[in-house]
Amino acid sequence: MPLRVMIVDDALFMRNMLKDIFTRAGHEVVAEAEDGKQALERYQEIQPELVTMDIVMPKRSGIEALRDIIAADPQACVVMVSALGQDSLVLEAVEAGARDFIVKPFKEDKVLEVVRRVTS
Amino acid sequence: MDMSQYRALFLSEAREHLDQMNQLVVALEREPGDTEAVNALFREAHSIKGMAATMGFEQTAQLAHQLEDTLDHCRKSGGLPVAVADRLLDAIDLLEGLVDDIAADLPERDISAFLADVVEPAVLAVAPKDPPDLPLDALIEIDEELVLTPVEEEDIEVLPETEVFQISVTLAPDVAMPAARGLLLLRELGKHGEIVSSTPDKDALLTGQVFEQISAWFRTSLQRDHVRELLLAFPDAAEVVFVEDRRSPKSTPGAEAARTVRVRTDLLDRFVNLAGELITQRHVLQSCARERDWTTLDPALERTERLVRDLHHHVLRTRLMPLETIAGRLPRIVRDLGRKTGKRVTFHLIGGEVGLDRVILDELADPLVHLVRNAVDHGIRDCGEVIVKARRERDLVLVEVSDDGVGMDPATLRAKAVQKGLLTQTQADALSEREALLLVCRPGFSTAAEVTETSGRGVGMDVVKAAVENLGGNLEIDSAPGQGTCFRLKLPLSIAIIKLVLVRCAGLPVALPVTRVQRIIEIPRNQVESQEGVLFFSLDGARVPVVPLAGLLGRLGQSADPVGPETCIVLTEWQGAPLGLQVDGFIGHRDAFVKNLGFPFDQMVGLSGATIEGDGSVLFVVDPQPLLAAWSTDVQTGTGETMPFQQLSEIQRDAFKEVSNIGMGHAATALSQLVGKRIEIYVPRVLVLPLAEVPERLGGAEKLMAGIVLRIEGETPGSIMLLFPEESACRLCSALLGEEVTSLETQETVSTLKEVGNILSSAYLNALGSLIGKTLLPSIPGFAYDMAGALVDALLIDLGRQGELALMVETEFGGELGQGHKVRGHFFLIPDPETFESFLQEAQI
Repeated sequence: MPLRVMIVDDALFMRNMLKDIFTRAGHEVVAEAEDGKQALERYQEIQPELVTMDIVMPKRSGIEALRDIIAADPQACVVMVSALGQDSLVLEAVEAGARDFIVKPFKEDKVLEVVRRVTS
Repeated sequence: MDMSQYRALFLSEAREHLDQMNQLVVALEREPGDTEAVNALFREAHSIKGMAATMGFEQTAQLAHQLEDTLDHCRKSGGLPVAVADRLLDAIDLLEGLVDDIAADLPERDISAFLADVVEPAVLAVAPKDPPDLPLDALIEIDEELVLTPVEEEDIEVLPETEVFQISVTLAPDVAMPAARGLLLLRELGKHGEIVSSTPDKDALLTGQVFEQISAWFRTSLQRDHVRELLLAFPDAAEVVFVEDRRSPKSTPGAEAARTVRVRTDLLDRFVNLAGELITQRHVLQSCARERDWTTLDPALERTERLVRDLHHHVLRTRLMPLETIAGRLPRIVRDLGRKTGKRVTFHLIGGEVGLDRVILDELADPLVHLVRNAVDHGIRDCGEVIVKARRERDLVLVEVSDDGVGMDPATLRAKAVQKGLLTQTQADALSEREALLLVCRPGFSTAAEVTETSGRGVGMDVVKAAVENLGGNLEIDSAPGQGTCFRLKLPLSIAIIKLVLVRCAGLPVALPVTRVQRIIEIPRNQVESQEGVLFFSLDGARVPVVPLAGLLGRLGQSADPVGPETCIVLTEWQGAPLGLQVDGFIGHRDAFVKNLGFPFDQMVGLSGATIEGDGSVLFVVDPQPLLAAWSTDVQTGTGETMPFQQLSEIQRDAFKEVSNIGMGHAATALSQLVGKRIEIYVPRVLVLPLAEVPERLGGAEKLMAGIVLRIEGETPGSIMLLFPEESACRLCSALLGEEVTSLETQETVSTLKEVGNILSSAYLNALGSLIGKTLLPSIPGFAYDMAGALVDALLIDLGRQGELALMVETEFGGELGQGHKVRGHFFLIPDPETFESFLQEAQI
């Protein structure tokens, strides 16, 4: 089933890559945000079914944005995108309600697996 | 997943991050306690790491990782220790090198030495805790297991319809973030039953405990298979199934991929809209054409024009990029220079957001660096500031590089130019202040007392000035002793990059705007025909007029090979119809910055601009349209060449006949000496007739002839053509070579006939020259064996005139040529128009 996805990442490179992955899998990327502050605004505006959230970002971090979004919508389905070595941040995010996480470097299959799992 | 498509984006983003890092480190040096800047630096390093790891660039990822570690410590210790800055900058340099490697499709350079050379803990407070270890290999050989193995049963109450079992999940040894994964596994189980206990438990996991196996006692109403399925749904398990070969690290670089540009989405939307409107307009126009509805045509065309202009405008906008994209490295350069020279220099960039064409930015990067270096090296004494300031002024962008240093003294510069022999005293005195300041842009002129390591190394201000001018801009200098110096670059907002078609014409390369060229056609020369004085060739069944470009340019008869078998036609358009420009050959296509020409070149008809070739030579861009306009006026009014010919009097004809007789007499003597046989040449007739009529006169355009063509060089240029009927040419060659000649296409006969042409021409010109008191020399002859019509047309094309008149001297060869057969030949003198008049005037004497 196609999903309406929002990608939050400060790197255009990462956004494009994820976008391509989602698009190829038949999902629709309905919004992009490049910092944590924008993430919440766009989320409330667009109400995507899935959010991928980078952790290290300017303005508000991904974890702060995650908390903002969950506070606004406890059902929000947010998957963290993290680099290696950020275990404690990811743990924090999982505790705060992130549905799953993707570790960079990631592979297309893995991303889609995570997505499939958290949305089934 | 094919990564190559992301490569260009990776490169450009990585470079941006590195630029940013350079600036941040330099800023941090001034304000080491700026924690937000440290955070920002950390984020930059982090981004590079993530991107590089994703792309599989291990060295880059490792180095970024170490950088990130270092910065993390800085973050925790609340600032950037001054001593760390150098290490950071070195790492950034190394990262830049790595990115360059990747861009050049080279293997990443080895950075192990740098990584091993960890900053002493005393300096850093805390050294990177563990060697960076990115399990990229995990992607290659993932041998991941998610095994559910029953272990000994604990004493747990079994509720009706529920089952209790122990689950042990073994994760792959190198799974990323096992604690978080464990947490999610437990949470998943928790959704479907009750976790009685687990090892490690949630609290342990939250502290980040590393484990390879998690086991839990689990009570659930679900079937085991179902639970297994739920757990296998975790991506770490799925990976086993979907493991694929490691992506090919060899991504195709491709020159195209390196040229990416980011376009704002609103601009893209605008393009889509415009494209849509254009499609609509096309339908409108098509309907106009179909319905023959000319009343709606005009407004529709107007609308189309507006749309196209709009589109063009917006497309140009996509090429604009802010100046800061190239100014980003300047703070770092100033900092390094300041360190090296021991000067205290501050740097400011004002107006970094001002947009310039990408190409201009590319070309401007080095000159800008050079100017800034100069300012630090030569401008600033001990301390001061360098400012780069940009602002938009109508369709220009002004970029100023100024310093508050020692300034320059025009008087000193004048004196120096004289002392160096670049100018005479008078010339130097005549210079205005501003011109005198520009002396520093003369090659070989340097104001620095000594050559410094950075500035005075060959690449001088002359190169900067040339680069700016090449972009269609100009350079001004304001300065006075003690008042600092300001270099002002006036640049066009966007640059005229024009696609050019390069052709060879009259021995010179000539550039035509590609917009003026429809096709380039190479055809056999004899397919260019003439009728009623008009040259044409057949294209798709239609007659297309041909005009030699050399004729339009006033460089007639200078072609390297006027009688070669092939000719090249540039198909263009003139007054709505196709027209062929005949040129010597096609060289190639070129994208070039075309500069407008200044006075007096801008006054020349048909020269629309010039570009500098790679070897420094100037290539003029010729717009054939104004040339054709001038040419057609000439043709219509019949000005120029034909007038004096018509007025050729009986006396003049006689004079020419006499000259020809004398000349041919000389020629006969020369030939006789050459072959050791007595050869006589007679001149039965001298005629003046249009060159185009010559084939008819010789027995038809189809008649096969041996043709020899020469140019008359010197102060009275013109052409000479000799035509021999096939059998006469064979006979002549047989006699001269002393053997039977049946083919005119052997090297021997060709060289024999060329030599005959040479001797006849020289002798004739010698006689004519002494008559008119001028030296006339023949060029090296060209030879062709073809139908008379083709030979004459070829010459006409080369001369570039139609309706050309020729002086035709019929010749008969006699003497010991054997067999009593006559050898006939035809000798034509075709003076260039400006020459003919002088011939006539002189010949009247």
